[in-house]
Amino acid sequence: MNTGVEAATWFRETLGRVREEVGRVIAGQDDVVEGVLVGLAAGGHVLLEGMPGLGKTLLVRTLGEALGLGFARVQFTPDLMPADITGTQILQDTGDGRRELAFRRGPIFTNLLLADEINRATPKTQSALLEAMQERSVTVGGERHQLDDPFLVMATQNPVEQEGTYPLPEAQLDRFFFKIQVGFPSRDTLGEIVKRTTGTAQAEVKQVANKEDVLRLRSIVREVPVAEDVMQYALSLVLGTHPDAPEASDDTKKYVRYGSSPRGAQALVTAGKVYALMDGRYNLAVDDLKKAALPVLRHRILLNFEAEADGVSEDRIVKGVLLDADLRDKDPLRV
Amino acid sequence: MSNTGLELTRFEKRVRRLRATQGAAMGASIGGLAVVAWALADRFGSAYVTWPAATAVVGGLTLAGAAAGWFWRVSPLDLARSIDRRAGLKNRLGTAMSTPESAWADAQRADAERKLEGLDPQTVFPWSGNRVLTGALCALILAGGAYAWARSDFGMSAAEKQERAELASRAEEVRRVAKEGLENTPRELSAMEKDLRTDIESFAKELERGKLDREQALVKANELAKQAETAAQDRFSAAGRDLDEAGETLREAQGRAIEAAGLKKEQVEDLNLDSNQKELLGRLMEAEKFENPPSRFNEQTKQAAGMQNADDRLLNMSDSQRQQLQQRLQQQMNQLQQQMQSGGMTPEQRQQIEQRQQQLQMTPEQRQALEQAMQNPAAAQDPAVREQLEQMAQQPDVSPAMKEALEALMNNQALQDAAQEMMREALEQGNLNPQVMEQLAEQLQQQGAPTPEQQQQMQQQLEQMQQLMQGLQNSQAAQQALQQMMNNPEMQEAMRAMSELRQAQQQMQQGGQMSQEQQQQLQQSIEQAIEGLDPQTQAQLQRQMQGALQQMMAGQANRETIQQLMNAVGMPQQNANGPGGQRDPNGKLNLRDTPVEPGGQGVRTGVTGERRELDGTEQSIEVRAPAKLGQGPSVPYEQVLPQYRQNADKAVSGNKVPKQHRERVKKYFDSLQKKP
Repeated sequence: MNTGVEAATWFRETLGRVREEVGRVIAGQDDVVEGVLVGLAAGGHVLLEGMPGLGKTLLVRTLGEALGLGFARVQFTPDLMPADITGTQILQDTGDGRRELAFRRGPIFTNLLLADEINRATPKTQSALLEAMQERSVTVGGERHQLDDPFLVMATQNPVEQEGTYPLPEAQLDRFFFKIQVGFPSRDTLGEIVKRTTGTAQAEVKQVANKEDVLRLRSIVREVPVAEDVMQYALSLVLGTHPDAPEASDDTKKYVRYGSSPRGAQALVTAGKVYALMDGRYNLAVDDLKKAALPVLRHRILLNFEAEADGVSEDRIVKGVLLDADLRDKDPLRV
Repeated sequence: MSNTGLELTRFEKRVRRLRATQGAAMGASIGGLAVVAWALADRFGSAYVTWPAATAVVGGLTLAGAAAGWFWRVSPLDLARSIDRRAGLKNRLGTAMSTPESAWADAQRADAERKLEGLDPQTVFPWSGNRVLTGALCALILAGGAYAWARSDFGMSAAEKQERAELASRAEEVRRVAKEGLENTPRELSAMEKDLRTDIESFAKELERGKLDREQALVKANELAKQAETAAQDRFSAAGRDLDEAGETLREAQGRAIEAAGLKKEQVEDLNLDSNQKELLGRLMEAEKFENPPSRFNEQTKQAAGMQNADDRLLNMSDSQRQQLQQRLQQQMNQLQQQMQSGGMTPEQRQQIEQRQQQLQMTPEQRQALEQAMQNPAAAQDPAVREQLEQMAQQPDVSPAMKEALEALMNNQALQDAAQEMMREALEQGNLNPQVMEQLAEQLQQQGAPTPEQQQQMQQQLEQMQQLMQGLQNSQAAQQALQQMMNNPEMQEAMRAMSELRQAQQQMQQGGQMSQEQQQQLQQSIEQAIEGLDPQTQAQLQRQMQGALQQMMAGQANRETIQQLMNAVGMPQQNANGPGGQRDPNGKLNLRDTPVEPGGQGVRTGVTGERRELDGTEQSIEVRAPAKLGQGPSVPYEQVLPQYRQNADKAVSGNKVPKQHRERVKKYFDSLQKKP
């Protein structure tokens, strides 16, 4: 068996084990769990949007336990300060009668950071995450502090309560690899959740992978080859979100103010690769891109006022783009 | 980039097969539609479709479509991507075809191959050309229907059907004629005859598909007849050229015979006298009281000997006559030579005397001045007139009387009678001193040598006499040579054959025909003519005479062909003036006044009146011919008469008929109406 086959098999099995372990605690929410795992394997931050009480925090904590990663949770509030996240310098006795400033790490120095209700914090505080998310480091008092690797931000936000919230700036949104919408569970799932959380038996989460495994997962993802036509499809999707691009759909032209950034294309292909590996394939397929399109692109599209007036959502735009791309993607052989 | 490891050949073949089938179907569809258009054009008279041609179009386009489909390039990468899509392989093959070599790529390719193994090309590329096939089928059915419709008489009236059937049978006959006359013939066709064959074939096609009505058919047949006649004339001209060559060959042979008889070509030329020499000979014969001798040699012999232009008197006179004429001619020549040599004046002296004569002449200005002064003495005082008069008076040789009269005029005195008389005489004679002028003329007459013109004239006379003398001297040898030729049977036979051939050629060129017997006779004559001649002459004459005869027969065959064609279209040729009807005295076809009937003789129609005497005076050609060969009109007379009458009335009332003919038209239709 060659290296490629081994790596792909290991990837699928490892991620399968993690998923299985998470599933012992989290009932249902398969798409959400899968999305979070894709973000993990791809090394991207995930924004979970959903109502309170849907198990978002539990999901992230469980994931941390299953992977043996450090976990921290920050409840974002309007009075939360950046230093509360990144850490601060305090005056400390050196023991020889002198005092000096020492850096005390904030909760961001972990592997899995749960930024709960991130949109409740002020933009200033939200921006404190920017450097950490992109550079994997924080700078305090002129000193740069490297974060642990892997470092993954799982942010949640409540879409309903708009009072007293601060919508995330575009720059920050763009740094989220995925935006996953956590829907309300189905009846069966809800029953299962209640059953699990109100009984005496509590599921115990075992560690099935470690930090190194996560890093290896990420390196394997990069091995997956991309055919030219698949790459072109991915680019068509991203360009399709731009109102002034030739690939733009009618909805895009009408409702979109700004389309996806190049990070969107990177995220699309990377997420597709993860999906391909999870599917047991060695190559990226158009289907993988289609699957990744919504979570990758929905938060990277900035709608205009007309869209808001017409009640058009980002998801509708992305679906329109997918439809257009499908129409353009013809069989190269006319038989 | 690697594209190895994936075996896609069976898929490629499947794609090619499908494309070939679809291409064939599309080709057949296009071909079918083309045939439909063609058949429609045929039906409405702007094209002609035959089933082999229609089949060829459909078949050709079908094959072309199939070939195009089969050979259309199939890109391996495109094929892989297409299989990916069709078989749901999630871009495995496309990626495997375009991924650089690596351990991961190997795994990926192995995965792709695994997926590929179980695939059936027919499942991946199922037949999807039913619409194309159906379209092709419909197009072919439509084409068949259109072809049948174009060839059928569906939708035609009974009369149209009958006419079409008749024309079709005529077309068949025309085609047969063309085949017999211009295709199944051993002779090699000239370019003109090949064109004629093509045109007749085209004519037959047009007849067959009913694209020509009767009148157009007859006009077209007449055009073909003209064409055939031109081809025939071409052949006759070629025969003429062959005969000219044969004549030349014969003349050369005869020339050799003449030389063998002791007469050279230059000597023969001496016998060709010009008019002056002939006149001279006539005067000599008249002086000797000789009559023109009777002819002893026929024209053919003379022609063969190159003496056709020789003076008959030289060829036929007796030896004694010749001697007497020679003596008399010699005497005249001697006299002329003496005359030329007489006279002692040099040309310079003669010139001086002539100049003196000119000086004595009165100039026009002097004459005019003198006349003015005589009519009006006052005019003599005019300076210009006076100057002229003074010049005249000062001339050294002016007569005294004249001088006196001039002075009287200048002094404005009354003219004396004598002076007036003198001046009148001077004016009438044109000189100032008639006595001196007379003396000079006498001097020239008595002592002067002949003028250069006279000298030249005498020289010419002498030369003519010398040439005549040569002719007289050569005439004896010419007589002997001609006699020898008259006694040579082979040469006579050859000349006779040539003459017969020439006569036949000329007759045919003028519209005559050559019967089978004549052909055989000419053939025999040729064979007999060349017997006994030297081998070289024999071979040349054989070739040239036979060639001429063949050309004449080919020309006649053209005429016969067109005769049959005219018969086939119901327009028989009734005389030997060439095809297509009678000819005028200039040999031109006369299409207007050639009423014909199957019996072959022209008939008088009910129209009486003036004939059109000049070609090109009418705007249309009137062709009168029977409706059918050997039959009467196909449409009953009573049916067409009212319509014709109506049209005639319209033409008369619409001033389309000249005034002087209107009454005649009315009378004509009246006469027709009374008959039933």
